[in-house]
Amino acid sequence: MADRVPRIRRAPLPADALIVVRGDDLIEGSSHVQAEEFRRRYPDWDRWGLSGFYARNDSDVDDLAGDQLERFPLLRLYRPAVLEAAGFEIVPTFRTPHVTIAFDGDLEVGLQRLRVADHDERNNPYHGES
Amino acid sequence: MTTALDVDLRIDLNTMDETGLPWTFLDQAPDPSLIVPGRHIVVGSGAAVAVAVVVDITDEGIVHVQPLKGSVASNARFLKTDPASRRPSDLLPDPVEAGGTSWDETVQPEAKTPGDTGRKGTRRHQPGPTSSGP
Repeated sequence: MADRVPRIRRAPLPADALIVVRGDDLIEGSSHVQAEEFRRRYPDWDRWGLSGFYARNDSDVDDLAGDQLERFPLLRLYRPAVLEAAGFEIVPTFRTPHVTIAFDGDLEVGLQRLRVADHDERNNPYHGES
Repeated sequence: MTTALDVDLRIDLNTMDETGLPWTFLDQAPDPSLIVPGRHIVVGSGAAVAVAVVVDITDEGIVHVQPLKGSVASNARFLKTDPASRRPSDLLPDPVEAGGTSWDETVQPEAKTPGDTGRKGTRRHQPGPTSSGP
C-alpha cells in the first residue's frame, strides 16, 4: 500500500522563502479538481492540497517560470504571510522547492479565499517558446 | 478563460509527488488505453499543456509523466498525428522503430525504479530503456 499522506520534508521552509508561486492554466475549476485529486490520493492527511513552489526572489521566480512552470501562461505569486493569514498552511512537500498549500473545511470556500487573497499576477515570458 | 486543447491525460502540471514528477489518476484519461509507459502523449489542462512521456502507472492507478521542454507544436513530431492510428495500440509500429519516442537526454525522467524514488509501492509498468536520442 502506498503512502496515504504526502511526504513532508524535514527542513521547514527557509525564512527567506518570500514568495509562493503557482501556475494558472486559465481554466475555471482546475484548482477544484486538483484539490480533490490530492485528497483522493492522500486521504489520511484529511486536508485539501494545491501544489506550488517557493521562491526567495525574482531570480528564483524566473527560474521556475522557465522550468517547472514553463507551460503556464500566467503565474500567481503569493506572500506566505498572506496565505497563512487567509487560513492556509504552506507545507514543504516532496522535492525542494515544492510546497503544498493545504487547507480544510469546505473546498469551495477555501478556493474562494485563495482567489481573493492578495497576490501578484505575472505573465510567463517562457510560455509558448519552442 | 481559454479554449482547452484536447489532451490524452488531464493533469495539473503544478503537481509533484515523491518521484519529482507530475501525477494524476489514470481515470483522468479520456482513453486510458493510450496511457502506455514510454509513449508520448499530450498532457495538461487549459492553457497549460505539453507533450510528455508516460513514465509509469502504479498499482494504485497513479500515472507519472515527464513533460518535454517546449510547446506542443515544437514537439508534435513525437506524436502520432492521425488519431485513427493511435488505437488499437497493438497496431502501432514499435515506438523505437518509428523514431517517435527517443528520449531527450535533457528530459530524462528522474525516477525509473522504486529504489530510485524511495517509493514503497510497486509499479505496474515501467518504460523500457529506450535511450536512442538524436
